[in-house]
Amino acid sequence: MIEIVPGKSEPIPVTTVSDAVLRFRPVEGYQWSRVSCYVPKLEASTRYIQCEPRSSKDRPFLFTINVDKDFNQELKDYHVITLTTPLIVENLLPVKMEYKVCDKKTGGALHMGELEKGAQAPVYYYETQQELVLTIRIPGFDWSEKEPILCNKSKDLADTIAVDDKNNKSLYLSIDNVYVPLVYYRTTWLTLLLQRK
Amino acid sequence: MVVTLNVEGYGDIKNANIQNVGKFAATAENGNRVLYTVSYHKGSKIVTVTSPVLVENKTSYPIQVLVEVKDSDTKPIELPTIRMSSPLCLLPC
Repeated sequence: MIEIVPGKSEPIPVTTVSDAVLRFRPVEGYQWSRVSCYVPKLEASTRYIQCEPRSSKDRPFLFTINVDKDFNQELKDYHVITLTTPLIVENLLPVKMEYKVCDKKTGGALHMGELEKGAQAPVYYYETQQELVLTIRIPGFDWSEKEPILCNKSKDLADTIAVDDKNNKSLYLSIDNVYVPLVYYRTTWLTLLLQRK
Repeated sequence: MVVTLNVEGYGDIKNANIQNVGKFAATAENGNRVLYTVSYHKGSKIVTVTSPVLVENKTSYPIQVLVEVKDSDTKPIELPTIRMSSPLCLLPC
């Protein structure tokens, strides 16, 4: 068993690489993930891993697993498995913000808190099939309507959220759901041409 | 500069080129693939031999990884990462 602290990486024992199956869990209070990675068949992919809690009172712990290949042909057997936070709420407003991430069906709050300007809050405790909505409050305004931030149909995702003041005047704020699968950086002064095979 | 690295239990990794810094894959005598990186630190060339599969934790929680060998009982396995550091060559002035 290997324990990896946040921000660090560890190699999988080289003796097992040809036949290893990997399972994951957060350090305390959770069972090993049912979903596993069979190392010899690793393919570049991204998926969710859910770990069930030992206590029925707790919610499942979710994280994202991304398998990446080194595209250099010399290193075709080289893989990096990256575990990331499945959902991050980030406050890009110039003021402090209160927020609640709720289950769309029940309306119950799964995660709530306050975020200072520029601060982030990771959200791990929900289930893969859950649809989530977000409500926020900023100083001088009431709680907003609950807007969808995670749902099965991406076209249903909200891109704005409105908060009303005491005079019922609405302030419209943006919600960014940015997903970029591939980014090219040109860091030379030369023109870069790309052709898709 | 080409060297032969010998990793206990794996046999020789012949013709490992450590001339240039970078990340390289090689096959050991027993057929297992290993990764070695070449870097400089304070005038020493550092060769790190490691596994070709890395797990990176970018969450804010410590994460445990269970390594099971297929069709066998789950048993913890020791990490045989080998790190060698030696002044193989000097940095050019």
